[in-house]
Amino acid sequence: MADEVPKVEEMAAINHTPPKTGWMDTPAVIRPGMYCYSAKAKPLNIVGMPNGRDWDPIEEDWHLPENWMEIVLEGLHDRLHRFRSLQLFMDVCVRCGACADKCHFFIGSGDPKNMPVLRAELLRSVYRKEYTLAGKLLGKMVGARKLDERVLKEWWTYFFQCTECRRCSVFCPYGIDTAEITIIGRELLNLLGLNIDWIATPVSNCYRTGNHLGIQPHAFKDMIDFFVDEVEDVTGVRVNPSFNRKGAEILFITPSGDVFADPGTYTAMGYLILFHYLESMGLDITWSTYASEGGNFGFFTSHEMMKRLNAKMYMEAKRLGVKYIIGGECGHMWRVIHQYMDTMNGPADHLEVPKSPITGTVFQNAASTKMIHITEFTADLLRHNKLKFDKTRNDNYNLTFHDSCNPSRGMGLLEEPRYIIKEMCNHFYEMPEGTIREQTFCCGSGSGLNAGEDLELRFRGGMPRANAVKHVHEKHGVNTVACVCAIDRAALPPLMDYWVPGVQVAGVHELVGNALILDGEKERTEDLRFEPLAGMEEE
Amino acid sequence: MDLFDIIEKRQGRILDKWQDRVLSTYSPDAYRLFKHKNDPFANPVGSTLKKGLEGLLDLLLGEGDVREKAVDLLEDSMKVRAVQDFSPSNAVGFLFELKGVIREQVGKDLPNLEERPDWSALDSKIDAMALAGFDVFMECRERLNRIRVNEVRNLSYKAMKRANLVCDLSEIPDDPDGETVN
Repeated sequence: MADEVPKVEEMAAINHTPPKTGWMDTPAVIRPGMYCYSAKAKPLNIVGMPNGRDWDPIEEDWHLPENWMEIVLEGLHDRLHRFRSLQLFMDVCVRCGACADKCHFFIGSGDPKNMPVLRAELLRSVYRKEYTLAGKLLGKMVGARKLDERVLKEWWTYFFQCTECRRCSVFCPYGIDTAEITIIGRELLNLLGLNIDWIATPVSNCYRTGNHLGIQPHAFKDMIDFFVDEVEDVTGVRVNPSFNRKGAEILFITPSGDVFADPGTYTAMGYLILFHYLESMGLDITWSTYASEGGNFGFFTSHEMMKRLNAKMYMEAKRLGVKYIIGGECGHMWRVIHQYMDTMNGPADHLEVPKSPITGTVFQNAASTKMIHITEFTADLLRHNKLKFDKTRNDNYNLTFHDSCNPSRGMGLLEEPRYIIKEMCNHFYEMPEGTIREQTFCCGSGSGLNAGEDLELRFRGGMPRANAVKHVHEKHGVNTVACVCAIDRAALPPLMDYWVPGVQVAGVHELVGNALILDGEKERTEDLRFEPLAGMEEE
Repeated sequence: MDLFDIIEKRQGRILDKWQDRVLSTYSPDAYRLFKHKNDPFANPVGSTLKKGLEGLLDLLLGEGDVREKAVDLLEDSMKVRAVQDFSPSNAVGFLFELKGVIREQVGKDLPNLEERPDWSALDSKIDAMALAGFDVFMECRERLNRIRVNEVRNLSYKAMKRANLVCDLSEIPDDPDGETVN
């Protein structure tokens, strides 16, 4: 045996770096925990998406249509002509690497194809082969390659490992928005029926019933009624929301996650409490059981699907005859509203520029979309001293604030949530610079990736965010992450459970609901989670 | 000269080499980030692993039960490795790399290293650390699976509850004279 032990020098000479192949020669590995289940035929067929079929990503044969290559290349050609931004993004990148280490998936995994520059190269390499002389003549030497099945599978793998969060774009000196490249990549995949189930089914549900979960109007109302009972238990006051009420001044639309999934439900109770509080001051607002979804998974599918689902909100506003829309705490809904709605379905001339009935503030920032974020509305109320509240009711919460990617980078909503939190809570601590505001780290689960089957992907992508939370947890005893996004509220609790146990997640309007002092309320001893308030533990 | 004394004297270099080998298990692009970027928030993986290895090397050179103490020191690093593209053996295997690094760094000064009794003591300590590493890795994987199961269970149960389809035990009073189901 002893003879078989290598000598010290031999052992020391072993190269421990695994052999590497160039990225073009390294095929994508699709393995459990890292991918989302494929879209089935039915949800695609319902909304008229092409080539719907049942297929399995880990099988060799994806049952692609025979002319799949032609479909993709024609699709690319069409989009290059329709979207000047795409043409620019294909041509202008100088591969400086500024974006390379900014993606949470790359930071968490070390997989080079998660570097935004390389993710874009997946598509750009095919573009070069098809559209540039150098690419046609010199091929691989100039980063060009032919489209084949292996390339297609690589696209599918990595365009569904991007949350379209746009952190990389903040650092690009040319302003290349890699999220837009992912968006186009997914559109091309969708031409072949290659969506994921976690996106396709919510899209189909939203198209049929008005929300991602397929909740029908009566069940949607039942769920809100459930919250009405809960609010009464906590506050002693029975709130009285209205549904589908024609002639109301304002339509309220929030992501269905707030109605369906904890801890978003506590945020929904917060909205109900706020609206009740303001009723006697002149707020005239209604919920809709048809436009019962603020989220828009069409955004993760194609421009056309995004437009279609966005239109439902505005059609419902028109049907009810409201003046404008207030939107709840949602993430990507706001990127759609702020950056796409106006040229897709806007301007919303059948509505009026939002004006707070309580303060008289006119929200000129929403002059065209006629839709304001609820934190803009509430921050304005606080600024004008229109709310009575007891912030000690949130004393059990040591808070930090996670800027959700889309409201922060997609619409510049940075101050309003912080302003509300600081007014409503005594204990607030920012996470470190470089992890908040425009540079915020994604939860790792956005753009339709918050499924259950890809938990490893989500946890490695969410690691940089969790790492910053861990810092304030250890330094300041932070026990709650506040946020203004329903996907965050669904995705962050398990992420925290893994990386920073002991930290929970709350919506900003949950904190508002806790603190607001309602006329006729009973002595408040519990918060909206039925947890005792600070100092009430023994009672 | 005692092996442990030499290691202590060259601790900085040994640590650097060990970190190097561990971070080389990633792609060259990732290595650049993980190894060289010092901001722990821009480079959480590299920072976590480097800090973990530093603590473990201190532990090996100190007194006391390595296996028990290594568990805490390994937790953060193993959480990272448990969600990355590693087989269990590769995820934990970096702990054994220390043997090679030490051989390389002290081998020339201490001939017949493997026959020395202090090598055998060190060898056992590293093995104990690796066994702890495997326990922690498994705990992380199990935590991952527990979270996965809880997510599904909570979602479906709470949906049924809100739809008034269930009456669970929490709604039955604790008072034995209260309303109970017989």
